[in-house]
Amino acid sequence: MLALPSSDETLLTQSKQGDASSFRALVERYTAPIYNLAYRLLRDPMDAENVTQETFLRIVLSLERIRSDAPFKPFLFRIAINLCRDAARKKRPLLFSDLDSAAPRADADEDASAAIADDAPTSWERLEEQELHARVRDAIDTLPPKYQLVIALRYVEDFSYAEIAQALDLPLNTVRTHLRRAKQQLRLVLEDVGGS
Amino acid sequence: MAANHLTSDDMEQYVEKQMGDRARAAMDEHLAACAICGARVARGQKLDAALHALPRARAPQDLAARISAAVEWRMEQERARRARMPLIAVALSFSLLLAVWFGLEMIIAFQDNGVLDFLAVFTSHSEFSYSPDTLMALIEALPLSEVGLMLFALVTALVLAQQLVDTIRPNAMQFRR
Ligand SMILES: [Zn+2]
Repeated sequence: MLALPSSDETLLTQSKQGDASSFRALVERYTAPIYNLAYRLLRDPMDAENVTQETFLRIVLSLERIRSDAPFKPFLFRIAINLCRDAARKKRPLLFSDLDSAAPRADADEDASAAIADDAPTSWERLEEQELHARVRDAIDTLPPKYQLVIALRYVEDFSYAEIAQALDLPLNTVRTHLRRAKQQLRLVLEDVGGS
Repeated sequence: MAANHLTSDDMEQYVEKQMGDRARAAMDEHLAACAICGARVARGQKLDAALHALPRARAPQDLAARISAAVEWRMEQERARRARMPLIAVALSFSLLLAVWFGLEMIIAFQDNGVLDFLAVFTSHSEFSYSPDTLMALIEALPLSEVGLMLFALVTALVLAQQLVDTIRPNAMQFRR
């Protein structure tokens, strides 16, 4: 019988029963995405590798306690993100402290300014595709880490809103708000750069 | 018609395809008629496309294999650790028992040999002169073997206790390459 790719949860259950090849399949499946996210957050290939490896080691050591009826992917990423936080805190305590903070700014102001940005004619939308992509790439780096994180999960890792909520342990509405604000700030940055 | 313009939230949900079919159809209807909102949606979609095109960092080719190897090595260690635990626990209780046993023996010997009397003499009479004879008598009176065995059992118990703690709560894994 030709095997369809097993679901994460199936592989997890089999790993719990001691099947090493199932766990290896999970490692194969998620090494690249976790590395990618860790690299994006930490900007260091060595740190990204360590976080990726440590994530799987944490999983395998607590295998018995992991619920196999809950989605595995957000759980896995939650561990990876926490490890990134630890690594970032060690390296750049100030810069990344923002990954933890919930709502640092006056939200009303932010919303108001962004509402204007949403309607105003923009200069960035006339850019060539390549140029726009490059500007977006640079603009992302200026966002608070908290927003970079939701952007990475949503657009780079292709998480659903629900998966982001589970991975970050946030209510769904907060995720929605984070993403909206992240994009609003991004527009503002693009506008600043595009206008000059 | 201005009242029907899409809110920022509507826009976001529309672009992100987070709304139900009915709501979406209603927006489509408005978008077909409203150039302003059409332009906003186009902007949103353009930004979304750019975000989806963000570069991916490429993990080293052999990273997954290396991680699998590290995981399996760790599992092996874990199995060995679990197999070791009962043995260490038994050895620890045994050496603790021995330490208590020799400790009691030592106390009894101290009392029997009158070492405590010697000490009382030493401490109460500060002018007391140390003659080689009294010193020899004191050393002979000491239950050296009991003291030595008790200390040995105690140190062994300490080392085993340390091992047991390590076994139950292994240090945070350090696999740096
Ligand atoms: Zn409109």
